[in-house]
Amino acid sequence: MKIPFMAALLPALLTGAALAESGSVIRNTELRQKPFSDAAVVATVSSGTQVEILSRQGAWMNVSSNGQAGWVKMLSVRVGNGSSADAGSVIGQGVKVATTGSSGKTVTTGVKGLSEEELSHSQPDYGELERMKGFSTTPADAGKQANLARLTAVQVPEIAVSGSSGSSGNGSQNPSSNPQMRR
Amino acid sequence: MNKILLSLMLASGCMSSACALDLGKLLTTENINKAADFAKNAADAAKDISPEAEVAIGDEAAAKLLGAKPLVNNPALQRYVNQVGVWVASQSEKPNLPWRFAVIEDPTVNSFATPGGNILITKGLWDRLSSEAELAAVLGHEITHVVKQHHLRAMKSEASRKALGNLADLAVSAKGGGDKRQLIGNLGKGASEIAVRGLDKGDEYDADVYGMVLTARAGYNPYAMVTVLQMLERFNSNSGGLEVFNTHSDPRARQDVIEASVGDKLEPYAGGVEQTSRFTAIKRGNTKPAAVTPKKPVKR
Ligand SMILES: [Zn+2]
Repeated sequence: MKIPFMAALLPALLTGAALAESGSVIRNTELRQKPFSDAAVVATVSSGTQVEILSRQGAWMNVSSNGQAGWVKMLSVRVGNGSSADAGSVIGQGVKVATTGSSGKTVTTGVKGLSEEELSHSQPDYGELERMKGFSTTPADAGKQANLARLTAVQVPEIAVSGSSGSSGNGSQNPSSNPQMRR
Repeated sequence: MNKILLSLMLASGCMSSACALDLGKLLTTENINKAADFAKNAADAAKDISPEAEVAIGDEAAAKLLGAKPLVNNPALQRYVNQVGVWVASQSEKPNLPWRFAVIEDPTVNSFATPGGNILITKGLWDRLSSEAELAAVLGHEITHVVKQHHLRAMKSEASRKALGNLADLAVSAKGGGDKRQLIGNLGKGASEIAVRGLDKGDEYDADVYGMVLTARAGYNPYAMVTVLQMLERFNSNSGGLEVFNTHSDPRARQDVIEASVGDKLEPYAGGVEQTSRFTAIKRGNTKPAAVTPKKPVKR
């Protein structure tokens, strides 16, 4: 099912190991026979173990490791090799990477993507905006079409963001998770 | 949280210890009152913007973005992303904003939102999405930025950094214009710049977590957000970071926050829809989805 889409990808991707997706588990995890928390345990894999990713279903991922296949939670696995060599290789290709101190966000410039520089060279295109508006739809119609696609709305309570200060190292600049922003 | 205190910090940029040196001299009653007024303006700036003005600013910003990257010439695709986007946005607290979605001609992997409800995803991102649930997750993320007015707040804090009282001052300083049209134009330009520059990490995490909630409410498997982030992570490591999801922070850190915040809380909804026949039809370039494509059974 992924194969037809591969044709659309750029050569840069094809040179990588895009077809055999691999990752590593980020904690000691039980490998289960089925994608359920109460399914039988096939084996235990320890933190850092490399796995091959076979498929995904719901919140689960089917992986194989050392010849054993089973299901783990998707969030227990991080894909790729886990190295942070990306920035280095970008610089090697003459692309500028700047990390702003205040927000800690990484801004990459010099790629073909839409950038502030490109924006500064362009004029607003109101005709294109009108065309965009012409493709819009109403909530009623979108709801009808969604139902035809077998979608139904579900009640789900809001969830507060936590654990961001540890990974960003900049928790104080996070007014977005203030209660005042919630309704 | 003390709003005034927070905005005082934002407004004065007193994050560093260097500010402490001058504080003694500056702490006259007059100056304290002035600072409080100033900070209050900055904090309330987003409130000063009426819903109509927010939409006008957003349209200016979208026109600016479209001036750089036009729409992909595929009406069926454009209509389809609106069907999915409006459905997901209908699950938010602001179902009646003039929501509009589009795919733009840009080979990189990225997505943008403007105030008021304009959401653009790049062709590069669209090409890499493999299910309607993944599309819903991406749009849910951007919808959250709009609903929670992240861009307006970023503009507000930019106004603070430039020692201006409010967004209107920022607009004036941007070009020295006077009339309302000019003001909206300048604010729109500011919003488009923030859209391509990216938001703070905290807003990104917020958009991931609330985006998952919206995805679940719309009847999809919310863990499609994780699948998208893992696609981006894989993509980053395979492309040497060349075409990173560049207005969005590190996918790995974002998964860590999702794990800490959402964890298994949304697992009751993980059996939601992953794929639809309309998605696969659009991917195949077929403009008449339901009639030709047999429905695939949904997993579980
Ligand atoms: Zn975002």
